[in-house]
Amino acid sequence: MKLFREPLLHFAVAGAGLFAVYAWLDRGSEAEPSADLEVRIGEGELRWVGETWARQWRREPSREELRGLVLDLLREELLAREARTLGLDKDDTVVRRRLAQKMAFLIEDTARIAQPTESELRAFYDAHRERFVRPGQRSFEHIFFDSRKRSDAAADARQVLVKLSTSDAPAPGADEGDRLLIESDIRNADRYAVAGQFGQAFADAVFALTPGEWSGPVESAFGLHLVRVYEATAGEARPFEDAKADVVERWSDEQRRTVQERYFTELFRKYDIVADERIEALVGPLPGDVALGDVQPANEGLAR
Amino acid sequence: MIRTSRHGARLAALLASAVALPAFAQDTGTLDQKRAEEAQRRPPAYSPYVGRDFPTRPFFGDTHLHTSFSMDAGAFGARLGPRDAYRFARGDEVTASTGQPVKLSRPLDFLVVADHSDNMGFFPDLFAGKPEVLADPTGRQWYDMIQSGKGADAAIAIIVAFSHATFPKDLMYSPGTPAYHSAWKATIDAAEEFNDPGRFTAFIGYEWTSNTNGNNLHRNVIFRDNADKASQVEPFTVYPPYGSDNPVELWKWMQAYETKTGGNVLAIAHNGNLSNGLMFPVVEASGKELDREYAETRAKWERLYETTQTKGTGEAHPFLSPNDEFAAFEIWDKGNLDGSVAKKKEMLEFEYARSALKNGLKLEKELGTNPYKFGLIGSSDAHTGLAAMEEDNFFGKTVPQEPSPRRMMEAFVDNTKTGVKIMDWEVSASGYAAVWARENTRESLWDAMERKETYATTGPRMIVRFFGGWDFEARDAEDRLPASIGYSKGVPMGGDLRAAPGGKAPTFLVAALRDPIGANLDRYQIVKGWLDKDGNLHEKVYDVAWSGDRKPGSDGKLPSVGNTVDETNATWTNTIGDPELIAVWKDPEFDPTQPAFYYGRVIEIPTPRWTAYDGQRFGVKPLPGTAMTVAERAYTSPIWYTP
Amino acid sequence: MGGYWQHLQAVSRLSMTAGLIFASSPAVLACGYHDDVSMARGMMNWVYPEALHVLGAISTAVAERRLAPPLSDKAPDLFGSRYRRTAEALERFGEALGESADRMPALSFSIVLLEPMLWTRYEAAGGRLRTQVHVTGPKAGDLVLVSGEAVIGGIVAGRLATGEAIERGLIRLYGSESQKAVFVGAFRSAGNARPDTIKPAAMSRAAQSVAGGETAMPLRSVPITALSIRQSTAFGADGTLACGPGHH
Repeated sequence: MKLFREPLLHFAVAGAGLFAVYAWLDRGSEAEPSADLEVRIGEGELRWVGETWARQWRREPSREELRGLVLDLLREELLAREARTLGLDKDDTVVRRRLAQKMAFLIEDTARIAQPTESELRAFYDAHRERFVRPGQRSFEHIFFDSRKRSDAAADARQVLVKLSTSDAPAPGADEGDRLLIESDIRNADRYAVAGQFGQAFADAVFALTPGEWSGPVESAFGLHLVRVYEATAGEARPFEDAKADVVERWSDEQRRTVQERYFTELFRKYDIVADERIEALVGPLPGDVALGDVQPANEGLAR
Repeated sequence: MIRTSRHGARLAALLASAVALPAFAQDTGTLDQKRAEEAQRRPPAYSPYVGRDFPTRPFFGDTHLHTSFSMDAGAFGARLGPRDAYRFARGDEVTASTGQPVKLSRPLDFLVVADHSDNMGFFPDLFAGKPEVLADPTGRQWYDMIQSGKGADAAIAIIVAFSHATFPKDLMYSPGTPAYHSAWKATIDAAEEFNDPGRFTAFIGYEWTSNTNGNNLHRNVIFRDNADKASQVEPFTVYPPYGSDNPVELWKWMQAYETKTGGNVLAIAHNGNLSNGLMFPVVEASGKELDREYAETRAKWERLYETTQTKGTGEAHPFLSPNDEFAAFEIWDKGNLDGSVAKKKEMLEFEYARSALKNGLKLEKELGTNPYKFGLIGSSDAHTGLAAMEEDNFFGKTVPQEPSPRRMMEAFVDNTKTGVKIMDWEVSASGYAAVWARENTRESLWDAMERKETYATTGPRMIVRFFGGWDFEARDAEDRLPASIGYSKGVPMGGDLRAAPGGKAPTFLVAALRDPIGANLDRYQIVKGWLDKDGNLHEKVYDVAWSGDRKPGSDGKLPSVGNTVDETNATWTNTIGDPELIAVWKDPEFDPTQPAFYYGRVIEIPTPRWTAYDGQRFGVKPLPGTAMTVAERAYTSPIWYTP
Repeated sequence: MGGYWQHLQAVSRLSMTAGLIFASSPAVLACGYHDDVSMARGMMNWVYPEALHVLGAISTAVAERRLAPPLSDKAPDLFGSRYRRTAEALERFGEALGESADRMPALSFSIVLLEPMLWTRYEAAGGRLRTQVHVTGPKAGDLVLVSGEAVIGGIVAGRLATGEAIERGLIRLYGSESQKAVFVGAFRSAGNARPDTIKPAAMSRAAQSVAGGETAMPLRSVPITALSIRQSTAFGADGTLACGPGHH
């Protein structure tokens, strides 16, 4: 499947695309009128298409294959030049967006083909342990007040709450509240599980409660509850082996983003963006203003 | 008791007490009465764990999901594989094969990826150009066609090869070949990777797909075990010479697996409604007369039956149960699976769960064992890799039926020769399996399935309790902890009533709570089937708990709960029905000499069917006759009484 | 399937195949609803990766009310009128492309409409596009367009620009990057209602009806191929082999 999804063509094309876009981006800085009919191709391009090929096929391209790649690249470039000569790229949202989109895909692809090594993964895991945790859990008991059976379930609940907080007994009397088919004692449930049984809002409320004391009333999909969380466990780290599949996924994600960020950083550096004050206030510092390598993966400024 | 040797020991360890309980009660997870009573008296905060060795919550899942590894799913364009399927079921957002993002309203607790065992994994391999495929000249040819832009031709060539039995023998993905081995390994690896005990259970499984002449005798096989055992075998198939279309051969395979590995498997049949009278035979099966051995073997391996799924619901049929006003629910009764033979009325009796449960009572008398003593579950049978069975989030049965403005319009089966035509709108957004297990692990869930402590739902995640015993009293329904009472005074769904104490009739403690994000409940019914002394079978449906203060009319029928559905805008309100139903019911017509079974059926208030959501979202008009509302429901496993 | 189906059979070089698959021995039909149109459509997703994402894009567009939904057309499809309407729309699509291009590129391409799995080839010759509706499939090396009836209908009616359709995933392109670039470059504006080129009054009836969604539902056809099919009697005596991928 992989082979088919990312055939040679794709990379030849990607190469050409990069070349074309690069050339387009670049023409401002190297504006030599005489270069209009000149197509430059050099060691850099050759190395790039060769490397791309090698990553995909796990071997060096043959001379013949390399020749094919270069020819494709050239044909593509010539067509692109022609198209520009015809003005097909001017003031055309479609072309502009497609170019940008293509560029974005290209950057993502570059990140995707690189396979992480074990040590890279471990390093990533160590650096982001907080992302590879089992979710926190709560154990709690609750007393249910059925709004359909009581004229003022909230008042009744508050009354019982007062009783519970003033009496010494840690547990409510057996006759407080109403029956609910869900157990009154819920153990070791994560937020998902609580939401699945009581509804999302109830789960969120329970996870925000301070353990040890009776609180409420908290509303669920069924009515009102007094709740006492008696055990709260924070999320715990998953061992590396256990989390490995997720680590790979996140690593690739991160990789994609980093490549993109770096790329944009360079782009922002490359161009002189003139913005009036209003815009500047709006977007804040541009990614190009920070040193390369310091870029946070978080979305900042115009980078997105 | 059939499976003492396999499960007696384990269950005994699981149960609070193995003392002096009649042998049959062990299969049902009965809780020791004294401890349960103690548990009730004690305030929970002092010792929250006491008395909690019964299941306190049902786990919801799907035991029947296909991915791109299934030949037909792949042919229909499914690109999501087992990993995507598990990822989606545990609550992640994924992109469907038609490019639409999709996410469940909340995660499922478990999933069985059950891909067809014949030709498992063929499509992904062909299009990936795996060496095994390319080694065959025809495989090579197809692959080259695809690579050179002749994919459309390749597609038709593959179809024709299948239709005309000219598919290259060497390309058949059969057990024993390296290609098949790697597909099975990939299936197992995916389950191992996503299995997360306590949080999300990914079962290893497959579907054995006996379909001779288009008559559906399919079974899903589910492993209790992990990769170490499951990878010692390869799935049983249908194509000869490795496989067979006879269920008896599948059971032999299952026995061989358990003998070889010391592991455990069970099988779940589905779609008797498309078997044209073959799913639950009473005279002969696969050309052989039914005998005790058949009955015992079937009862041993087939502990559950998939009662509701996308291709119709098979609990009851209006023709068989004319007095059951809720029997006509998502019925598919036009023919067999491919529509090649139209349905005849006399086939129905051997296709539906209720009539099979009844015939089982009779067969038990004749053969000594009831072959149809099964519990009930629902599942999706989706071929998209997506167990998305919510009415407002229904991603169809196959990829062409993923959300689209056309999906209500086309035919699902259209056999011009027999005139059998089933429209796509008749496909149900159903269902899920609910399992009363102690914890969310392969072992615990599987054991609960084995003891049939399960129920089927047509999609909503309602909580349903069903206990049978001799001593339930009205006030038990008022108790704060009905489950403790239920387990201490009776047996849960899937169990057997103990011998009748003199002069007593069976009592049932029933309770249901609506889905927290779903619709209110209309009623809780008990369906009873029994065999009289003359050998005649009977059935009756009792309303035992219902919402509001409705009173049954002079005909004994409860008035309708009403309907708040606005079909055009696909809306409804919970202004009718009740969130919770609970009652104790005593069989008013009990005869201790007659074998019987009882199961619960819980019915929701009407809500918009997926077709209504489609109509509203796509602005399309449904075809005349399209069902636009649905009264979702749950069916519990029965409790049996044997004199 | 009605008249449309019959029409296709009549023109199909492989009407034999079609007839066989649909109407012969029950063994062939052992896979039931797995008619070959659906399977051919399904396999598009493998042959042209994510081709079926077009279906999702159409669903989204209809849900957002950007595209007309199909009408539930209950009238019998007499004499293949549905097919004719679609065929006319495809012809008109070729014309619209031609009209929109400032300079006709030397690019031949094929389009497949997913609902009926109908292939059409547009051959560039002498600065014009020659339309061949209902061909067996793309020529080797062709740029392939995957789309749906409503999309072509929308473009022909001047309500949807080809470039926008591509952007929204309503048309997907499969070919070399340069083929795609040339196609987009030349034809992106086709479908933009420009008063000088497309006058509603001048629009063919076919285009209007297709745009209105009247092509509707069971628009079915078979992808036709030049494979020679021998009628086999070996439909697996028990029907199992014949079932092939069809299970459930």
